[in-house]
Amino acid sequence: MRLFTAFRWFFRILFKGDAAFAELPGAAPKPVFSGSAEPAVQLLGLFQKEGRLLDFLNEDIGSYGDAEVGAAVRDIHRGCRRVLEKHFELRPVLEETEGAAVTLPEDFDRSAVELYGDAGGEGPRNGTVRHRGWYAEEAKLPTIPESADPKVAAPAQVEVGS
Amino acid sequence: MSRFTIGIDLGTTNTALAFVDTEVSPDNPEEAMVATLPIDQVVSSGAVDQLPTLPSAVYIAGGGEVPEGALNLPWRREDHVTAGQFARELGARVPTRYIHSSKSWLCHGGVDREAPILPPNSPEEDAKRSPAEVAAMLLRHLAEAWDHNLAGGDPALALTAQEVTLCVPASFDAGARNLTVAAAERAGFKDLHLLEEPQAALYSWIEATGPRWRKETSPGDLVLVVDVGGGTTDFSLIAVSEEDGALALRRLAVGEHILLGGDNMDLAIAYGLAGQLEQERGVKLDPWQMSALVQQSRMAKEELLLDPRKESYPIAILGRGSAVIGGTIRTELPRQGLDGFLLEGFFPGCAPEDRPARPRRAGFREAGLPYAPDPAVTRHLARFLSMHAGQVKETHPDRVAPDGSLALPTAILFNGGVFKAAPLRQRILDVLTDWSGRHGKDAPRMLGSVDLDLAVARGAAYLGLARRGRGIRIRGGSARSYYIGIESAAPAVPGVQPPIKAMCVVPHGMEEGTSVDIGGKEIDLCIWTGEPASFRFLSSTTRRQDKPGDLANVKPEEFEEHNPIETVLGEGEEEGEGRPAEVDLRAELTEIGVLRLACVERATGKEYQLEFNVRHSDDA
Repeated sequence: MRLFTAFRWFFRILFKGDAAFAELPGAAPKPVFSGSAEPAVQLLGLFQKEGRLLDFLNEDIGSYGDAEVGAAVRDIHRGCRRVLEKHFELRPVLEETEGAAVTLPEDFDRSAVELYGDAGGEGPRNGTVRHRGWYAEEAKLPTIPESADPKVAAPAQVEVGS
Repeated sequence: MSRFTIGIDLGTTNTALAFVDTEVSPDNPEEAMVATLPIDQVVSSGAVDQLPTLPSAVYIAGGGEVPEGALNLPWRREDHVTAGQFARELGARVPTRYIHSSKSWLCHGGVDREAPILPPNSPEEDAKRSPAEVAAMLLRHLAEAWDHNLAGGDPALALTAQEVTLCVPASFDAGARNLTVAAAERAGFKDLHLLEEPQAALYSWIEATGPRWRKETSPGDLVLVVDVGGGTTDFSLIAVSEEDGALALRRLAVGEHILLGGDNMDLAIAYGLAGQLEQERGVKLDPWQMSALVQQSRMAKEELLLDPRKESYPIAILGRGSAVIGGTIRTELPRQGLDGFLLEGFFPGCAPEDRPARPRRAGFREAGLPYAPDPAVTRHLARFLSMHAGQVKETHPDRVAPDGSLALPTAILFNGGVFKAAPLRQRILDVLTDWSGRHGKDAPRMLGSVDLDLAVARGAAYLGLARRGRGIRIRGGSARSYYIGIESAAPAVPGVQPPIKAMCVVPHGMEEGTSVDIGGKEIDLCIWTGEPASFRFLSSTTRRQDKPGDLANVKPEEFEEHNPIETVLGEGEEEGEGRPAEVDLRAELTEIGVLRLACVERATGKEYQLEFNVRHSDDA
């Protein structure tokens, strides 16, 4: 994915950077691609489409055995993970391994690191990483057709003629 | 000369484009910078992304099944046709409007390849397209994606204005090659060349290896290219020799057209599992579940082949409705099963004397295409290496079994996504090592790997440079010799076809850009003017001794018969006034790689093209 981005930029600079090329006159207007007005619903939709997450969370799993749930979850996990890999660039907030000692500077980002235990005082703090956190470097949701209802998380499926 | 040289791999399942910017490339062609074009395509309803390849799939919307704007491309509005990834997804929903594997139909002599016949067996007449048209559609998509990203409105940079090398299976016959070129011309391409895919793979290896390649090969090497794509299996033998102190490459032989590829393997596993489910548990899968099973079979195959410690791979097909777990069908692919389906089914160990089974077997075949009756790639390989032993003996006598029965390569180059799995490469290597050992020869070595998905396109782009004198070229000429059938004078016997003789019109190895004339007293061809004349048309990949005008007896094991070739002499003359006209023949293999045959009337010197009939003929 990163390689493609690099390529894209390479070409943009190589061929479009000098803006020497005007669009051909008289050409039909190019289509506009726009993101969903309801990105949260769209994200639900992606997890549903790839991993059936909405179906899974809404199903009463109490009546099934662990083996049955386990088997289905493998596929759901694979699909949902695909969504993460495709649309987010995730990395840990802290690069240290969990359990390792860490020193937080005085001005550490309070939104990025939560303190547990003895949180009072000032100055750099020494502690142990319990969870590395997640940082979404980039979140990129696909565009949707202009005519689509943005509140549809998953379309109903109807088999015609059967 | 165009700024870019382009290589296009119009594959059965995936299409790829690679290019070299001749203004950027260094003067040393062995350090050429080949890049691939990430291809814009609709990936989901209303969203476009760039992917390394374009699935060779087309969906023709009937109107009303997707929201408005769902199929738009960055460069134009579109509401009817989509190619690539989203086409595949739509195809899983509505198979009757979905066209895939069209390339396999391009060389299917039993159908009219210019008639709208795809998707086969579909009642949706408006969705139907000809195999040639689908090729043109995919090429047009590439051209649009290229122009959008790279041409910036400059006509001189448009894809169709570049020098383009289009890859075809080595086993494509003249008819299929000509159709491919015609499709590209219809898509607007002007500066075209054809290249055999296994050769492209070797070019890509040379490009990827860099100047080191000269150290990794030496005169006397005999390279076997094993190319198992999504839909076809293609073999070629390429000889390395020394000429004037430099390494030279010559393609000696190509295999027959074998319709057998990675897609068949995934289907084999999926149908095998589906059969078990039905037999053991009475579970019948609907088409939607079946396509999910094919996907999972592919994943199971890859995982098990990648990790030899895994004993099995669990497969779960989630329920169709909103009950995911309740409707889940569970099974697993055990390693033994995979070995059975794949290694023993498609790559079984075998003796060099083994041959592919002839009779058709029932099994995982989609209706219509003449898939190879025997799925064993290794047995096809045994046949290929023995058919061409005689030819190899002339230049590489030490690489032929002492009894002359088998050619034994010194090196193997693998191509095609199937060979991402190391055990499959290993199996082919083991089989060839075994065969070499039986005849007291060294085992072959594996040439370093190429990018198995993009090698063909990359190699073709590289050849563009070589064509400009900046790199080594593989020589070889026509991989087949071609013949017209001449009925011999024999008393008519009801129910018995008179035996035919084959007259060579194109010799094996005829170089591109050359032509031959066949005439004189020895061949006495006479055609009645004013009405269609039709010749039976044959070819051979093994008969190299025939010269133009030579007559040969037709042995079925040496010849393949194609649809007839036709012409009409004396056009414009009044009907019923036909007269016998003596003709000579002219055969030309163009620079593009297209075969042209013509009749030349002796009296007038007028030339009449012999057209390849791509329509089905019952008496062929």
